Amino acid sequence: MAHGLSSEQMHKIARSMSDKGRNGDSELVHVMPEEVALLERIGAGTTNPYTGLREFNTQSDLNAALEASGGEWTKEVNDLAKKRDAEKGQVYNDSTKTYTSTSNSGSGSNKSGSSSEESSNSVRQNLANTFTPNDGMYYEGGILYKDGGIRVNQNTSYQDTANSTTPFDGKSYVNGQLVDDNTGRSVTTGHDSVFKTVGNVMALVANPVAYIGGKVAMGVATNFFDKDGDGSIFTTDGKSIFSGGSSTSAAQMLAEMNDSDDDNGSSALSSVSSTDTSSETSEEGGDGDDAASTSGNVEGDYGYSKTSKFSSRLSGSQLLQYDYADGTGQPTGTYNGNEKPFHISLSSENARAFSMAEQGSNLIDQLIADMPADLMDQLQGNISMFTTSDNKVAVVAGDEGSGFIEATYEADKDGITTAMSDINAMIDYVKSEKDAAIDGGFMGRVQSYNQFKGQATPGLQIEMTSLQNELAQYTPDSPQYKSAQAALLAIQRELARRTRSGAEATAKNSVDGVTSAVASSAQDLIASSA
Amino acid sequence: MAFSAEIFGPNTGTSIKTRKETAAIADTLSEQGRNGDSMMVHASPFTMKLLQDIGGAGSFNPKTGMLEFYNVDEAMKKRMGY
Repeated sequence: MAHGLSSEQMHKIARSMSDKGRNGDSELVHVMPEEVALLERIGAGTTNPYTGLREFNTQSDLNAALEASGGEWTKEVNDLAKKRDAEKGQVYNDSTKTYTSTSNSGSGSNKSGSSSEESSNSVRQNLANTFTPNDGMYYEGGILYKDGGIRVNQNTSYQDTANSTTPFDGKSYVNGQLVDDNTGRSVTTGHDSVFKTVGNVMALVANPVAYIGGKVAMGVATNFFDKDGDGSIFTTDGKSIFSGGSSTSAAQMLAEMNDSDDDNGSSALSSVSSTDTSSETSEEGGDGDDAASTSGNVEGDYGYSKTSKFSSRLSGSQLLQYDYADGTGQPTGTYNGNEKPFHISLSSENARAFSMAEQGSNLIDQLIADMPADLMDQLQGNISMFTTSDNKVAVVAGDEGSGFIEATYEADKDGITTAMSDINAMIDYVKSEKDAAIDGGFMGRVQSYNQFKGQATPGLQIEMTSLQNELAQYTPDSPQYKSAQAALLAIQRELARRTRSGAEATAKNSVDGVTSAVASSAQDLIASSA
Repeated sequence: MAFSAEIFGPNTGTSIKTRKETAAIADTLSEQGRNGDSMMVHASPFTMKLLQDIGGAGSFNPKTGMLEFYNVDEAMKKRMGY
């Protein structure tokens, strides 16, 4: 076997996985994708957190309602019980206090032989006629009859589901047979496949834009996304709904679309509107005296847990405030009220930046997921990637308490490569140093660690003493003094990191460290060009 | 755990690494399906009844020993050359 497991081992593993079912899920079963899609349509589809497999328990809803009501049989409990019974193919009779099965699992005698209509039986129905001839029932023309020609009054649970999920398709299942709603006659051709209903749902999931676009074209969901009525669901007042420095993901938009499917998309529209307003403010650059002040603030809730200690996506951004008065985009805001962010580069295209920021966010998620479990559990803070208002990509790291630090990159191949490399370095640092606190000083610690990697602490202390003596011999503000002072501060930052003195956790640590690294790179460039 | 429920599912106290390993095992099991069965799900008796009602086989998969619900009509037609 390709997987290298014996049959016995496979059985054991399967049974072990099956045991991880919850809320009454007693079995692990093989199913077709179409069947899963149908179960999803019915509802109650969740993911088992232990195995990652889908689960479709409906009894749990009923149990939860019963628990909430203190065991009292309330209307809510009753409704849930009815729903469950319908799925079981049973109906509760109030007068007799008994359940009546509507399933086709009867016993008796089947009619044998053939008829002109028998050819429309399914293979399974013909087999049932052949192998259970004395169960009191028989299939004819695809319909189940009791002996004597009395048609069994039944719909399968699927057929009831199909009726309820496609009420306006012009056809309904009656007594197990598909009939035309207008004529009441049996539909013998073009039978509504079990999975035809599911097909639409799958299309919505697989290709939401095409599906919703089709609804718009049919006038069923006019103005669902076409906010400005210009015939395009992709533009609002001529601007892409994806513009504006928003980190709203396609997946999030899809979720909002699905949620608002029945209320004409109000929540999706409000989200787009919010994003678009931000975009217009940003692109117009404000009015009058405040013309140069722009903002890349990101609005909205990104769906991430507020209680998590670590997140790869900041919920909204108070960062990315720039003043473009001199045309260079100087940062005006502070991340924690005390420290000033640094801003490295400017210019590029928003769509590309947005796409790259999303890729970067996914990379962060993947890198975090590959961490050792114990270290992963200790992570606190935030590392995230944003599109800036000037179409750049920003990597932001920090937390609410100590502030956030932002590094901005060009939204081109070199920029994104550098950003990814920096993120890799951050994650590598977390893993090698077991430093799981992503605070304002984190970026500085990463920089410092890489600068002094391999150098022992005693050696650094000796060098620090030497630099302090050296400083005393230079004239303050002379080039030699500044150079020695920068080297001294770098060593002090590294020693603070190694001894956890407290200074290493501040946003100042990051600003000093990264600014120093940028300056050093610039000096190298100047030296190499000379 | 300190991770987004949106990405990694509900907080269970099980690390993502463990969950990924379990998911890989689940994939291997799913690959043992036949006649169109390509997925596995956790199922209650109610769910299994429903799957049978819509034409699921309800037989046992010989490789995993788990119940399987491929569409009998489709499988029979295919086998009989319809």
